[in-house]
Amino acid sequence: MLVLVGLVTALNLILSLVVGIRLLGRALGGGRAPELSLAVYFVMSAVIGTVPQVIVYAYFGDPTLELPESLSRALLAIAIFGMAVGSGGVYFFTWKTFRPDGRWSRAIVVAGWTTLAVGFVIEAVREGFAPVIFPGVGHWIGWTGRTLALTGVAFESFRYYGLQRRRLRLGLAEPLVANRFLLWGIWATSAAINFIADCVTRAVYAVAAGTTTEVIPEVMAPIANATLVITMVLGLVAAATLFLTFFPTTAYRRWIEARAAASMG
Amino acid sequence: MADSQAFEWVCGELERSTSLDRLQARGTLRLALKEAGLEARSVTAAQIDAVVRRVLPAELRARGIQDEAALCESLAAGLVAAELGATPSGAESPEEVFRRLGGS
Repeated sequence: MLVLVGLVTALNLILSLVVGIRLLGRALGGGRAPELSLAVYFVMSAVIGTVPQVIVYAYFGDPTLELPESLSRALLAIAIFGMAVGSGGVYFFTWKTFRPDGRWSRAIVVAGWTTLAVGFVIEAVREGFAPVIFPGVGHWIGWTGRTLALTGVAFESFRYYGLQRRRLRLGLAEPLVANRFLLWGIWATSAAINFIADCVTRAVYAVAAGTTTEVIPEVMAPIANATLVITMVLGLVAAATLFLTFFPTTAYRRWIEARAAASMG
Repeated sequence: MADSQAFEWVCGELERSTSLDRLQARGTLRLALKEAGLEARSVTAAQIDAVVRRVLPAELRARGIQDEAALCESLAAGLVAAELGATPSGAESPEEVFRRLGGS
């Protein structure tokens, strides 16, 4: 099980890095805001936000992998900073792509950025990025900002996919581009559910074990195993949808176009 | 948020050419746009042309407007002559962004 989860995590990391670098290249070449904001997400959140956490929390599965606390705190600070900056990029992407003229959509970006910044500062000052199982309020303020960033882009993508399906009937949309909104919505939903699963796991453990700081292996094991299954499935869905969004294969293109042609009679 | 030039133009023509008042004309066109998956704030001249030809006739017929097919043909011809702008703000559409993401 751990090997499979490791492979799925590695697959998502590599894919995120490739997508991030590709988007960064395009943004620097053409100066386009949506590409740049997504590049920031993939490099900062999906890669820099994930790797240190994998290293720090490896001891959940194997207590011998526990790091010195000062090193864990430093790594978690880097991870949470990366996730905050990356999620800020997602807020920006949603605004610039779906509602660039909306006054309230700009207000959502400001509120999202503020939530991420406040969460980071509180976690730094009050909690010091301690590697505990159920962190304090600062962590959860940041978590709320990160989860809502992905929920927002998922909502807009699904909404726009609905519009695109109607447009397809009038020949006003391209089947592959319409499908890309669906893929992106599924990807963002998978990532958001992963955040929620993390929160639920920590909460269930804290209640079951009666501690937020110590790992009790016999309590942790069944909870961690259930979470690993969920994480692995979501990781596979995320990897598949991310790949098809950015690298649609010829066979996939043909399949989507044939389906659209068939539905139009 | 302002509606697009194309939307405003067709609403004006509907109000002028039919018995519909301003609110009815705008409401009728909004329903036609919704059916086509489009939004008044961002609809382009090319998109509204398709709506005028293929969706609006049924909406006008449902409101008792006579000779709706000829009216829609005339609206479509007028749209071409009016040479309206692409989008209200000139901002790129979500489709353009998502088309680029996949490298197409």
